[in-house]
Amino acid sequence: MTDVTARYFDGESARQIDVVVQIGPQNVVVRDEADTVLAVWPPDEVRLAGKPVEGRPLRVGRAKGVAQVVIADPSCLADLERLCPNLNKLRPGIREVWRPIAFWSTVAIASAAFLFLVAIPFAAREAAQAIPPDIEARLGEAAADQITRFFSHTEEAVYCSSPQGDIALRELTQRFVTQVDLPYPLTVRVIKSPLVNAFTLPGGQILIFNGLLDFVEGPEEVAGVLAHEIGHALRRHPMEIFAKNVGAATLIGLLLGDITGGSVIGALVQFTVTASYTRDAERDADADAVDLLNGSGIDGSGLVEFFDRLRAEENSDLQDILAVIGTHPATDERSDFVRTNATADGSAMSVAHWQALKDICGEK
Amino acid sequence: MADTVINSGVGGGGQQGERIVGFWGRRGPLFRILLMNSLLGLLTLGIYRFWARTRLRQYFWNSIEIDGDLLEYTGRGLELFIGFLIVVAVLVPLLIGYQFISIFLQTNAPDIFIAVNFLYFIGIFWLTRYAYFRARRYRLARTVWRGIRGGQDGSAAGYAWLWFGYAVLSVITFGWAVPWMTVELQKYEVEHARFGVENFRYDGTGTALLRYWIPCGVALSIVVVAAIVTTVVYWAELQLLFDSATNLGTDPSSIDEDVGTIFAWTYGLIIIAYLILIPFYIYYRIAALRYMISASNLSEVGFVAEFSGWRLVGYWVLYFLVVIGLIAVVVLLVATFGVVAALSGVEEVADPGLAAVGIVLSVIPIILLLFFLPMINLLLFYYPVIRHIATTLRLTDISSLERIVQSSRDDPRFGEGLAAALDVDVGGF
Repeated sequence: MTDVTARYFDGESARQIDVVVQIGPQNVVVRDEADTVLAVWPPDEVRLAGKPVEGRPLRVGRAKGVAQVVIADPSCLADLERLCPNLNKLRPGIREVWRPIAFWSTVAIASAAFLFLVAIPFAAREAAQAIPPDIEARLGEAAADQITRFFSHTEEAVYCSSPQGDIALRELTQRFVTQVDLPYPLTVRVIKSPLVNAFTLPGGQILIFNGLLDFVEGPEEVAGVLAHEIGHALRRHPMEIFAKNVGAATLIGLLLGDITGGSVIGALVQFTVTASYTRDAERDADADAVDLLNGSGIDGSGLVEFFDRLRAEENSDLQDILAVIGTHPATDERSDFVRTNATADGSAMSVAHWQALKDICGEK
Repeated sequence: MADTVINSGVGGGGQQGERIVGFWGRRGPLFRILLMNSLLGLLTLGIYRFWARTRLRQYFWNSIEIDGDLLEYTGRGLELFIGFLIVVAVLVPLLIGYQFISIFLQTNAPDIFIAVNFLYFIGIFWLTRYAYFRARRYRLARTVWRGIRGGQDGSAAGYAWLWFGYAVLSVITFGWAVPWMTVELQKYEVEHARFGVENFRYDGTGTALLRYWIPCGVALSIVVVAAIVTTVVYWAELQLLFDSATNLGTDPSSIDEDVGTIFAWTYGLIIIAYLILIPFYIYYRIAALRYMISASNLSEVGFVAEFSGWRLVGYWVLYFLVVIGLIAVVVLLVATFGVVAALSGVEEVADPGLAAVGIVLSVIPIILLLFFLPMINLLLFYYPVIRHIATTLRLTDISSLERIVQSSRDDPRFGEGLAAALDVDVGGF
């Protein structure tokens, strides 16, 4: 049992009352100078009203309300800690908590899920169709510039070019382009990189990695891949992904808040999640590829072989292969579709042109 | 400073008042809280930020002592979190919905799109003022001194409209309505704030604040008039410039060289004048803060602000120099490692391993900078500024506060979700 002198604020007025606080195992009792009991607090309801500050009086209150005693001599803290098990817990600000949390969490999660799964993909698709082609073309050029700058400073150091190789690529592209009505002119380039990959940026910027030219076993495979990428460009899929990324980044930024907290991680997550096409988009691009191959009389079995070999390599630990599987998953379904619908059996280019294209980044 | 605090509760040091506000914060414990907050923020992908903010406020409230009694912050992270959930559930779909409409309008009705976009940005500004007021309400309701809660009455929408009206007026008058705007907004904030049942009062006029605005106002008027005159006189040439910048069809060489020189000079001067504006504006903000404190009363308690404006500027300059220095170091490191990454990635000796190391090493300094910048901001700027303003404050006739009683008005149950979502800054934390 300890008695200490203190000042008491009853939570009703700002007036201070000089009191004696009796700290006992049954109760903490506050009495004024006339020995009138002002407050009786059960020990498990006693809380610190603010962390103790060195050299400053100790403030103690009850779990409910804002009444407090201010004890000038902080040495009684040990007694309080011994007798009051919840001393360091916060005074609750709001009483009922779990119902609003449950309700609003559910609504918030439902709302965020709806936005991610329905609203953003739909809006992105609409946006990709609505954006004027010349703006998209400029965006694509900017994206290509970024890539150039990432690898080096000059285009020559990043993209491969040789007189005969360029002609081979241009002629192949021309055979496809004449069949369709593209919203913007295509730019097809070979990028100096050992990765087995090919992708399309907004605005019809198609990039074929040199590693893909080494990986394939005939020009028809390259033709198949190129036709597939033209399909993406035709349907403005890259723009759709770009719009989806912008939407997702905005939403994630809003949800995660601080840049130190989550935005950096969030940006990485959303990049990996949304950087690939949907299954539907791949199927559409495959259908376009088959039409283009048929229309130009090129043998579609090249694309089938490409898919099959990709799948065979899936189990290998080659990092290069993983890159292309990540963005273009090869499935039985896709091979079957191309096999059944491809009707032509012509070659993609002459042997000389194929050799020139393979050596576009220099002879090996 | 803190040791001059008078612990008697007896007020009335004449008109001048007494320095009875103490500050007991220390940088060490504050740094530990900030470090813990940032680490937990990273681990929880940012969700911890509501609890982090609560801990930070507890520390600052718990460090400020008025007439011998420390403030108490009774807010909880959970309340902020629920407030945030409400915003996610309600506001985010509205914002995304707007994106839909704007996409639709962009293709189908470009004229309406421009108008709607304009309204949208005004709406966002309006919302930030609305959120700011709501955040004040939550904070004051969770501030306890001597067992009595603070409070903020008034309507957040009313405050936001007041702001909007004066913002329009300020634009029309080339900024000369700003002192009246400041005073009216301060008046609304202060007169609707209360301690217990007692409302604060505010005796201020825009005319009194005008003289602090004159340097900034004159400079701003020069800038605006110069910009308008240049634009009107060279309207045709300006359009030509605009066309050549947006349409690749126009030949840039068709623009008269002299006109280009005139533009470069005029707009160059405008930019310089704008930079000159910044110190004038800081001078005004400091004067406005001093004015607000000194124009406020609570019951018979008067407040006299005696902080040194130069000292506040000094803290800011120091903080600014440290940040610039750190950014310079980081840029240097990133450039060094970035070159390593670029070289090993492209050349014939392609070495993906080395490239990856280079990329990682060039990203680490950026992440560290982002991690430590908010801490530096609080430790080097807000901490000394709050300490200085608090400890130099004079209060007159504090004894009259004894009569104030608790208000029974309902407090907001959940906190400031909108302010958190819109990143409204109410004093750094």
